[in-house]
Amino acid sequence: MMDREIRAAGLAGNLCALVLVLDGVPDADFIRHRCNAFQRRFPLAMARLVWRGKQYHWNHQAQQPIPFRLVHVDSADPQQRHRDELTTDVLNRPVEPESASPFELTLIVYGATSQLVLRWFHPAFDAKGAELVLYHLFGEGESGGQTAGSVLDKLLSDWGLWQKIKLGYRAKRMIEQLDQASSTLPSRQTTPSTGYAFDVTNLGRERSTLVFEHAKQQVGMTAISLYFIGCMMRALDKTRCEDPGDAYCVPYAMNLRRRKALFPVFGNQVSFLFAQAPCALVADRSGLFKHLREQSMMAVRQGYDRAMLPLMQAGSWLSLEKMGQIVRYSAKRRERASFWYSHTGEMDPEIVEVGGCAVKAVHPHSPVTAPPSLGLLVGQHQGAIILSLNFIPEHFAAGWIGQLRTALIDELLSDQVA
Amino acid sequence: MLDGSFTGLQSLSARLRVFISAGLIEQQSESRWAFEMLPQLKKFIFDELVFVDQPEQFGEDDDLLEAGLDSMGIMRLVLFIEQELGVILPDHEIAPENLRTLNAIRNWVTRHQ
Repeated sequence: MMDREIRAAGLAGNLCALVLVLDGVPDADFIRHRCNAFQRRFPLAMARLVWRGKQYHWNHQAQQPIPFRLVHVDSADPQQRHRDELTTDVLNRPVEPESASPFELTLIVYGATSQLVLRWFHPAFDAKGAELVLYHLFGEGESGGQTAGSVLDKLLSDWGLWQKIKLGYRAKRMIEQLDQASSTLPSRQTTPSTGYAFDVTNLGRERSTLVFEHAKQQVGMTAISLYFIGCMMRALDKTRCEDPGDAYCVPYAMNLRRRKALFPVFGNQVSFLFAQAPCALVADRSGLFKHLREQSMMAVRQGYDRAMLPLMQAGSWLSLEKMGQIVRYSAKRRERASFWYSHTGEMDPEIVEVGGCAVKAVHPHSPVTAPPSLGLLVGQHQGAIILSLNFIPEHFAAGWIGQLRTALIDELLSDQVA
Repeated sequence: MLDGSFTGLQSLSARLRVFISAGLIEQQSESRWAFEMLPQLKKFIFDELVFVDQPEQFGEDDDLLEAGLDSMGIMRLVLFIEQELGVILPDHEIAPENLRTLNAIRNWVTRHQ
């Protein structure tokens, strides 16, 4: 489905992005040359969307180049705010069905520095897939790499129909249990937006080391993501959400790719789970992390992470409106998610340079264009944590996102035990 | 004197039996690890968690964390050992020294078998 139709059905858009902050300006012809080489290796990159039956499908079309745009900014050293606005414009640029490509590249040049924006059409691939695209475009991947099958495809083909039905029901029961508590929502506004904004913070290596130490103390080495989720819940508690409920409920994606595998590049290779904590528990820092950790262990032990996969597969047969209702709302027709969360971790494999220009940072973006209107994406680059708050600006009072960011960083760096 | 020697022999024989059975248990546990647990564990790790070019070449002292075993992978691995191999591993012992290599995992699992 097209991004605009998805938004019109009340779901968030599906144009995600990774922004590479470069120390220099790579040659545009070099990027075009690499795009051509990528297309020869991965012909799917030349596909365009065509309407067939009741859905859009990717249709392979020869001689369709990967869209690449070059944007020159007049001022050599624009203010950060102006840079962010330019990047936002690129991220929010509408796409027409006939020109929709699995991904596109934009190089924004600011004098002697630049940012390379990879915007992709989810679920042509997911965030880890985007890292692999960058690797095959600009890393050593251009020349080789052993193929590896998809864990997701293997699981779905191994399970028989009845096992899928059983798993689907297990996931449904888990969601029904979550829905017993109403979710706290950061905003009361329910209208979807045509665009979204972001607030990115690079914590630097020193502060990031401290955050990882605290995370290991609080949640152990099996659940680093839960530390960020718990800290965000506490930050929201401090900055006061507009629409309080019984609990915070956070969907988070789980990567199903094997680490270090350079394939599969395409496809949505993730499952998801929920972290939910009662508001009353959020004030008790160590109690909150203990609860989140036990909940996550229990969920994986019960197989809920895998149970979501048949449900997601079945969802692709539903109408967009029906799918939207199931994904977004609890049985009481209230938004289920308090915010979205995604942790891509250290870029793997790492891209250290693009056309001779060092990569200084990598910023993840997700199109939060519908309620809960707020998402937290966490990435790492050379040991430094990057916090990317994605939100609908018109759904929050001026300055609130800044307060939330400060509260989140304070929480992440806090060594407070209780 | 005879009684004393007889008791001594009995005690020696009992100790021998304990020693032999302990050895047998150790041997059984070794062979269970080598023939049953290790292949299952390797299959699970390299099919689902970490990609290496040649899994059969991955040694028992090679670094799994270096190879890409991440936090979620560790959780899945611990639960796999619990559910498929029937060994309960305490949460507070989930630490790099117990998970870094296949040998470290063997020592950890053996302690709790």
